[in-house]
Amino acid sequence: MKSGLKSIYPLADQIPAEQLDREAALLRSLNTKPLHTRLLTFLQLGGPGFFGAALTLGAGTLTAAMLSGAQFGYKTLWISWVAIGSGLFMMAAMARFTTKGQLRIIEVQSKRHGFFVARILTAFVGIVCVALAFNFGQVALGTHLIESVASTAGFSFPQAWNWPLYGLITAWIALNYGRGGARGVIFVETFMKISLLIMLVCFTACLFVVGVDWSAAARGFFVPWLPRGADGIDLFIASSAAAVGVMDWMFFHYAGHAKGWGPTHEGLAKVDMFTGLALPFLLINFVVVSVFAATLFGSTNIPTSAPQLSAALVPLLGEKGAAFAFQIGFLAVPITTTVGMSIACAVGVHEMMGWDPDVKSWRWKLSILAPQIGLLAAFAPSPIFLIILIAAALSLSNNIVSWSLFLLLNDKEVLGANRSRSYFWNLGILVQITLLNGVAIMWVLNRFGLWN
Amino acid sequence: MILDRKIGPLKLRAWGLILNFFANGITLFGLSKVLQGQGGQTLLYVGIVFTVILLLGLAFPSRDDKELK
Repeated sequence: MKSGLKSIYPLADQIPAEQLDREAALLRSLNTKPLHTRLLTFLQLGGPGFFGAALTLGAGTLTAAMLSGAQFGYKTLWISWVAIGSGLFMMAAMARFTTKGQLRIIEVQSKRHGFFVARILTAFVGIVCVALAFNFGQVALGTHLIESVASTAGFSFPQAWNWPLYGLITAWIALNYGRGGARGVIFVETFMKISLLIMLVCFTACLFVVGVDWSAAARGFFVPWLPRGADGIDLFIASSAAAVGVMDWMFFHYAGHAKGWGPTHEGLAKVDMFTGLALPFLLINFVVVSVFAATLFGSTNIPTSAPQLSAALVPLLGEKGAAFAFQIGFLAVPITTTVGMSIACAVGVHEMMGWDPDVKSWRWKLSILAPQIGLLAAFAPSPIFLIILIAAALSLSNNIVSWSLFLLLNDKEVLGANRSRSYFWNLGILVQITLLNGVAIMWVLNRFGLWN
Repeated sequence: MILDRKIGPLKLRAWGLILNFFANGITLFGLSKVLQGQGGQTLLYVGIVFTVILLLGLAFPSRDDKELK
C-alpha cells in the first residue's frame, strides 16, 4: 500500500496508496460539508459495522427476538438498546486499536497477556469455535427457509436437496473477501448492506400487514420491564451480554485493517459502528419483536426454535405476499451470518496460528470453508453436546477477553498517547465487562444448582 | 497513576478487574438466595456496593505524571 511499505494487515496490501490517500483527504474535507453529505459518504465508505450487524443478527439473536415478542409482547424491546449501547463502548475500543493504534490486536494481546488469553481464549474459543459450532444453527434455519420459500412459490425443494445451494452461495461470497484488493472486500460489504436492507424492508412489510400498537411499542422501548424472578435476570444478562461478543469485536477490528484504515479513519469507524451496526440491529430487532408481539403474543404453546416460530407466524400473516416477504427477509439472516462467520473463522485461524492471511493460499480457503461442516445440519441433528460445550467455554472466556482488551486500551506502553483518556468510555466498557462477568457467574451458579 | 502501579505479577487495574469479578459473584449469589427466599440481602448489598466502588475507581484513565501536574 503506502509507498512500498507493508500494511499492518496483509489483506490491505493490494489497496493502492493513492486510493487510501484520496479517502483520507475526503474524510478530512468532510468537516466543512453539510450533515447529509457527511452521512452519505460515511455510508459509502463504511463496511465493517454492517458486517458486525450481519454477524450479530443471526439465527440465535433473531430467535431470541421472536421469542421475546411472542412471550412478552413489546415489553422487552428496551433490552435491545441497552445491549447494543453497552456493546458500542468496546467496539469503539476496537476502532481505536485499528485506526490510531495500528495494531494487530491478538498479536499484541499475546505479547502483553500471554498465549492462552490471546490465541486460545480470543482466537480459538471466541472466533474459530463459535464459527464452527454456531453455523449448524444457521444452516438448519437457512435450508428450512429455502424449502419454505419454494413451497410458498408452489414447488418442492426440501432441505435434503437444497443444502448444496446454500453451501455454494455462502462459500462463494465468503471466498471473494479480500480478492482483487479492495474490490473483494467492497463486494462482500455491499452484499451485507443489501441483505440488511432486504431484511428491514421485508420485515417492515410484514409489520404493515399485522399492524403495530405504537403506544405499547414506545412503552416497551423506553420503560424497562422484566419477568419476575430468576427468569428476568437470566433474560436481561443473557440478552444484553450476547448482542456483541468476542467475534464481533475482533471482526470489526480486522475488517477495518482489511480496508487499510489508518488514524484518519477513526471518525469513519465510529460512524460505521452506529449506522452500520447499532442502527440496523435496533431497527431489525424492533420490527421482528413487533411482528411477533402483534401475532403470536398471548397464544398458548409457543414454539421455541426459529423454524417452528417462523412456521407458526406464516399462516397468521394472511396474505401470501407477506408470508413470502417474511421468508425472504428471514432467509437473508442465516446467509449473511454464515458468510460473516466463514470470513471470521479464517481471520481467527490465521491469528491463532500467527500466520499472515493470503486469500490465494489453500490455508485461507480451507479456513473459510471450515464452518461449512454445519451443512450436516440439513439432514442430521445438530451436535447439541458440542454446541453446549462451546457455549459454556464462550460464557466462561468472553469476560476474560474483555478484561484483556480494557487493559490494553489503558496501557501506555501499547497505545501511548492514543490510550483511553475518557472516564465515561472506560466506565461504559466496565459496565459491559460486568454483564459478561454475570454470564460466566450465572453459568457456574447454574452448574451447582444455585440459580433458579 | 496508582492504577498503573504493579503489585506482584499484575497492575492494580488488573487486580481491580479480578476483585470486580468476585464482587459480581457475591452480588449474583446473594440475588439467587433472595430469589429463593433464603435471605442473602446482606451479600447482595455488599456485592452491589463493592461492584459500584470498583467500577467507579477502575474507570479513571491513566495519565502521565506530567499531565497530572
